[in-house]
Amino acid sequence: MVSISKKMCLIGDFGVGKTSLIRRFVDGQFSDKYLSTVGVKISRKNVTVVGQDAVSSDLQLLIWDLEGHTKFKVIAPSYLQGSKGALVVADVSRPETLERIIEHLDLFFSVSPQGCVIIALNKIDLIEPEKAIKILEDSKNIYHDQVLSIYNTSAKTGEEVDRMFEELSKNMS
Amino acid sequence: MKDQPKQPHNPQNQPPASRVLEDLLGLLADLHSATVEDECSSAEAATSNQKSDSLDPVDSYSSYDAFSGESIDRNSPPSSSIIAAHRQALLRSISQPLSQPKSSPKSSPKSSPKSHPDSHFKSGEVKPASPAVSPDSSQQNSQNISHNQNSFHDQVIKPNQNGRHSQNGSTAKAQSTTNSPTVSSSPKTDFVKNLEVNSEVSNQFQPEVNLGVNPPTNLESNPVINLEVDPQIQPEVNSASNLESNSVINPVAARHLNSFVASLESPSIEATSPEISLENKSIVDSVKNLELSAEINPVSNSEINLSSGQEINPEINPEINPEHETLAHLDSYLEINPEVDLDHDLEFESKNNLEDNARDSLETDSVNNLVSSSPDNLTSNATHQPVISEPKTSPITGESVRPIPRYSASKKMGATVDSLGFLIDLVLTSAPVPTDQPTEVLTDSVDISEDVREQPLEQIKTLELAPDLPKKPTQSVASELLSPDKKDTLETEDIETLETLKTAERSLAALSQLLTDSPENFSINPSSNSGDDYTPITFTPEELEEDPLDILQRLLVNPDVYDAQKLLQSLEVSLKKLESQIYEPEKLIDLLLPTIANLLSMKISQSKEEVVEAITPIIDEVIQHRIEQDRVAMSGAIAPIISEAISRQITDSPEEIATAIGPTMGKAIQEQIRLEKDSMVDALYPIIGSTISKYMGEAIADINKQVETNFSAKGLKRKVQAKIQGVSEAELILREAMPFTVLAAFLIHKSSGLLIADAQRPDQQQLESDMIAGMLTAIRSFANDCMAKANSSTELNQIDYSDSKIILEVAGYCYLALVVKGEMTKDFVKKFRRSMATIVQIYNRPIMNFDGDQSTIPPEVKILLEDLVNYVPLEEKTNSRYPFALGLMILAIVSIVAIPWGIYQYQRSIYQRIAQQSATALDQTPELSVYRLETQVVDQKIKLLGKVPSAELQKKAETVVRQAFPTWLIDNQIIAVDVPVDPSFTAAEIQRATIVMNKIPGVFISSQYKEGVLEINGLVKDRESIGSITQVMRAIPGVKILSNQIQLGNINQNNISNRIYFEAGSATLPTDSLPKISEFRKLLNLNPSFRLRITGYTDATGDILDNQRLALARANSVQQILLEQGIEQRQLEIRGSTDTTPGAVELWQSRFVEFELVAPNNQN
Repeated sequence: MVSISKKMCLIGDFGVGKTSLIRRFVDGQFSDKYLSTVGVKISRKNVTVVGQDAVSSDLQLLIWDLEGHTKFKVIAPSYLQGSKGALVVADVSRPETLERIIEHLDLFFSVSPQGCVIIALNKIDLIEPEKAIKILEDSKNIYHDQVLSIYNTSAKTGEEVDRMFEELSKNMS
Repeated sequence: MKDQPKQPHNPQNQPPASRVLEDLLGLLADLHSATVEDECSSAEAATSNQKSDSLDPVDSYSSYDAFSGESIDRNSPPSSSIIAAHRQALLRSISQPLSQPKSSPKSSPKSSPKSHPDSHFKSGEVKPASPAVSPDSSQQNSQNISHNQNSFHDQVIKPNQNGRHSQNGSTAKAQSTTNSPTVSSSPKTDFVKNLEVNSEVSNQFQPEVNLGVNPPTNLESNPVINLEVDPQIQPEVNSASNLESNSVINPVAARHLNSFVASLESPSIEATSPEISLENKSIVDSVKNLELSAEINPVSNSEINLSSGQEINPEINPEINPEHETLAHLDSYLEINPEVDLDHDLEFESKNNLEDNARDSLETDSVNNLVSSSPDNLTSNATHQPVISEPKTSPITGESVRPIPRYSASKKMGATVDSLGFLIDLVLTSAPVPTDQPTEVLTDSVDISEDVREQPLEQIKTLELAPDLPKKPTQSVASELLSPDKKDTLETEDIETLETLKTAERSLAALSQLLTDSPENFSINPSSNSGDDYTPITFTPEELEEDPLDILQRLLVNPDVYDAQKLLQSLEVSLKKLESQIYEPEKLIDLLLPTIANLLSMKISQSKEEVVEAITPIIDEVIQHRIEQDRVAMSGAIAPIISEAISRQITDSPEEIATAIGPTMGKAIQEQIRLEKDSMVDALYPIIGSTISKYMGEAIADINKQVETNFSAKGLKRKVQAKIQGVSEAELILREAMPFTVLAAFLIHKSSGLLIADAQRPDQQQLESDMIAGMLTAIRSFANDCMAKANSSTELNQIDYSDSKIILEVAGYCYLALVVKGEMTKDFVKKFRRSMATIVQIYNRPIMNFDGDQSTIPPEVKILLEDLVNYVPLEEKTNSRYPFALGLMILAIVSIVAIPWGIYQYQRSIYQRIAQQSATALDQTPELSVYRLETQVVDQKIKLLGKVPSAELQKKAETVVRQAFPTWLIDNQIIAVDVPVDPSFTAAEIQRATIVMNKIPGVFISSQYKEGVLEINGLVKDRESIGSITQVMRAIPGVKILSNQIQLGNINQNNISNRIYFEAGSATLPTDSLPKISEFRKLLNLNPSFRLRITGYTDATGDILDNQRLALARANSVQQILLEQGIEQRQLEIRGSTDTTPGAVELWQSRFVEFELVAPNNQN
């Protein structure tokens, strides 16, 4: 029984792969089907975090998969309450989602200023590696002082997904 | 001279392509061949014969008759057809050599003109001899299939052999060269080379060579020989090689052939030294290389031969050694693949035959003429010998002979190539192998040619010797491989193509020849081998010279040669049959049909496992295919065991069956229901019946319980509750059926949705606390955010789902979510509110700082939650208390109602009795009984109700009751009223009173009543009577006015005044009587109800009848008067009386009419 639970959220535009990232991380699966999340879907995963003092502790991640941001519907701030960390997800194949990262960051920090955030540039399997690297570098230049780190991820291939979640949970504990 | 015409013939007849092909093949063969020349020659001869046969029986014969060259020509076309490309290449490459060979023949013939004829003869003889031998062998074998097979083998082998023979030949040459290193050729070497090459390779040269080289005798002798040989061989072969053998052997042969090809290829490749690579592709290059390699190879070959051949098979073939690698290969083949060896053997055999021939010539044992002729040939052969391919022909003028055999060989090759794709490979593969040898051959030939120049005889001898060497090994090999040869022949037949058949025929013929020869060879070989092995060169020549002559003689003499033609014909016929059969599978099938079953059964009985193994891999496909073909039949075949198989499987592994069938059970049942509902119902009825009855039993028990309580206090209460709360009674019943329970309690952090603490019933399914906490929080915030109206906050209080609900109670930084079932009691609401208050008040700080770590929350919180979860409603107690109170209440109500009612009933009974008695008393009072009087007892008083007409009666009634119940108070409410008298009643009373009065004597009254006024008329005799009448009448109620008009009078007294007297006998009224009548008239008028009786009397005198008539007449006269005076008839009554009047003294006193008034009601 894990006694320590942490809430984290995935924020981002619709269809950037938030649910897929969670599915990849929690279930180790991936599906090409697009299932739009309505409201909130909560997943749970127990992770073992090795802290800076080399003490490993079990952590129960309660991952709130929030409905994607669309121009018709913004993310409800109340869902973000009490969230220790957040993954701001963007789709590298859709530049507009990259541009809206800052909005999501602002939203999250407005609700929980002490939260830690990682930016996931998802779906890198859809673009050339060079382009992905360039986007990553650009993003780092922009957001490096606001977020823990920025990852190029792919829920399809699982690239960097686990590592990203691990880093976030490590910083949340 | 036939030679010359033949020369042109050959080139003309042979198409260039065919030539080229042949050349190529020949070359290849030469290259391949490393064995003795004799073998090659024999093989070629055999092949040539075969080919000629194959063309057409007639043609072949004719060709044979004409000349071997012609036969060759004709044969060539079929062979050439396929490998056009090769030919062209060859042509190109050979073109140069071609020119040379033409010239060469001339030189060569010179060298060996004498030998040719001899050789021809010898060869011819040899062949016949061999047939002669073969019959014996066949006889010995007693027509055994083996024998046939042998012949077949021979046939088949020949094509292959050719190559190898050529090899052998080349090797032989090489050997010869090695043997005679002294030979050296400069211009001639080329010539010779060409010659050899040409002869070996192409038939083109051969004819030319023949022309040039062969003397006419040779030419003539050759055809004859050929003819003789062929027929013999073929017939035998044919006869021997039966269809049966073919059919039987075919499958096996094919396999053998393939394997052989494979084996041949590899070994050949191995054998081919790097130099060999030149091969056929570019002949020029190859020639060069050949030369080069020849230089190299001879040594190596010889060495190899010596080492490998001897070492490998010293026993078998001491002579093999000279044969070089090919022999070694053969040996290796033999060792490796007995089957494959056959091919080699065939080759060897052919070689052997050739060799034998040569040997025979060489050795005393051999009867062959070849050998005998060889001495002469040797010289001529010297050049040809390298070709050695035809030992038989070689005896003839070497050149002429060679061409033929080679030609045939090449043709054979071609034919085989055409017929058999794979054979080509064989040839090709065999060709590369030879490359070494051909080069050697070439070199040899070169050397030889040189030698020839210098010392033709010697060279020839050496050449011949050389051939011998190869021959022997080949022979030995052949002898060993005889049996395999058969297979090979079979293989060729298997090929099924006409060409193959033809070639097969040829090969058969050749083989037969070979076979026939072979026996001899066999016999010869061993002896020769032993001797030859070690000193082949020196040894052979001598023998060759001696033997051939004898052999030739024998051959010539031998009558078998003539028989050969017939045999050949029969062979052809049978072959044709074979062909036709092959092309008509039905016949084949017919042939095989009877044996197939036996074969199978035998095989199965012998080795069941093998059959099983053989069939197993395809058994599923077989079944599948069969199913595709005919599902019905297959299902029919399988059907009988299906059920058994399933049941077996069910017993063996029920789980597998269950998993297999399980998924479709639902559908199966559905389908069955769709198809036949009734049967399913019947099938399930027993189960469903009990199931349903059980369920229904429980349900009914439940309902009963509810119904019972429906009429109980609880039911009443529920009804009242339902009325009060406005809900249906059913809902209340349901609520009662589900007691309130708390399934779980979650204390959740309000903002983050993290679970602070939880408690769940251990007996219930455990819920995912964390997930529920999160989702509830999300839902709650959704509700709060999205449902909130402006300027107001909303709060989600409760979530209902099925029979449960989640109650949310928010307080401070957390909220409590309770999952409950049933109706929440107020008691519980109080309890959990208290708990929440406690939590918020006492533990607010840790909750506020909650960060996901549940250990930071005091355990008391959890205990509080568990208390909530463990809450048990108190409903049972209230239940027990309730009926008691109700009972008391009911009792009180009953008593309150019942006691007064009883008292009332009691009093009422008393009162009733008193009233009854009062009424009785009243009734018993006559005056009052007429009137309806009621008596009631009210409040201790007897109440009298009713109406009486007078106050007297009123008082009377009261008096009567008082007398009955003196102690009781009497409330007399009887009303005295003036009752209006009924006029009819009054009239009746008056009537009654009138009648009563009229009964008084002397009183005759009548009354008339009208509206209260009574009028009385009548006669009364005295005053007193009038007074009493008036009194009575007046007392009658309703008579308010009485008018009394009664008169005093006495009418009905026996009174004179009432009589009118008549005269005697007269009825006429006296005049004085009228007043009296008028009085009566008045009386009657006043009282219309009165009647007046008028009685007539007479005196006693006279006739009575008259008197009676008179009396009546007197009364009547009175009546008439009254009637006249207006009196109605009804008031008058007349009588006649004859009675004597009492008291009458006198007569007149008796003659009168008396009046008598009769009152209305007094009839009398």
